[in-house]
Amino acid sequence: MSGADNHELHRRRRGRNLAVGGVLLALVALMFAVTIVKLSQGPASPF
Amino acid sequence: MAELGPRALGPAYSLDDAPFEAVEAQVADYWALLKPRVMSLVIFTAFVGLMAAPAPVHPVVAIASLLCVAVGAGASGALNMWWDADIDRHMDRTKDRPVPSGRVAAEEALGIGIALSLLSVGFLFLFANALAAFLLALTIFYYLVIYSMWLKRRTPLNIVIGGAAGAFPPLIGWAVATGGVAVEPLVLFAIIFLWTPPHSWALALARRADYARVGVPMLPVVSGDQETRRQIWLYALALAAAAAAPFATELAGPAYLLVAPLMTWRMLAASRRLAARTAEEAVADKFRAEWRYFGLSIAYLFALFSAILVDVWARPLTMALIGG
Repeated sequence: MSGADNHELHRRRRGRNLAVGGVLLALVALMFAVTIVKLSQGPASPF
Repeated sequence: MAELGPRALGPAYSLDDAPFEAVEAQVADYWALLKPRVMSLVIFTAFVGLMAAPAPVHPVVAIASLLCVAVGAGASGALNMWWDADIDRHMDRTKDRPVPSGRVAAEEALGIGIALSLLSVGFLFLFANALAAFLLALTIFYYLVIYSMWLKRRTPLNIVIGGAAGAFPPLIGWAVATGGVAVEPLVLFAIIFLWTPPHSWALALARRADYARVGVPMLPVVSGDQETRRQIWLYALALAAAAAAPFATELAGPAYLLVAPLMTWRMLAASRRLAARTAEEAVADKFRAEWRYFGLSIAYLFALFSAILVDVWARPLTMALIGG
């Protein structure tokens, strides 16, 4: 694999890693927000 | 590239038919794997179902639940691409998708599809309720197993029965808000269910050669061009009847009264024109009317559901004006 190919490979992997990191952060924020809302609404059964 | 296993009903294509070019996938490829255009329609119809429900939902819970529905729809798209990779590679419409083009491995699509299915259903259970989560799981199962695996390569009714998968989202939205099901979301289900065949058959008329090449028994392939046009007209009539059903419920208000008859008339007129065309005329103008009909049908569904949304939001004002 040439140096240019290697650079392109790393660029694409970096983009993917950043996207996965962003999704995980968004998921944590979402969970936190829903938890706060649910706690403020009091106990409820999902059934 | 490993084989995906025998296709009991499909054409004898193998993933080894042509070598895949090893390419490192980009974020855009994974995004395309989730079929974002289908996802947007699913989110919108689920949103209308949620907003039309009589029980208020906290905005954060509503957004989180709709995200789950979106991810579940994306999971269905990934699983469908995994299963159909062998035929997608031979169709002009689908050959550039991430799996058939080799940018994402089929096994990876399968893994992503399973993971997102479990996550979306699990989180919807936590965010909303058991019924909403069950309906989302049913939607994913229906699209993958009932439609993609069972019906698509077996019968020209594939899109008629399989179309139910795309009709579930308003039920999910309603279930998120109320924890139950009522006649209103069932009316929305019926509209999407009856809308799907004429919408898909217009595309199938224009893409008949694609489907014939891979042995998918779409109606134009099995019953011919003229019979498909006749069926489009008949289903458009049934769709028009379903589009009138909201008037018997709380869903319809002034906006729907204004939009639905007008758009339904346009849809019926376009269906009639499509039914009157011959295959020779369609080939001569490169299926111009069929492509326009395909676009019009999307606009039609969007208009009906948007009108319902406007009526739901304007309901307090409407009630005040009529003194209800």
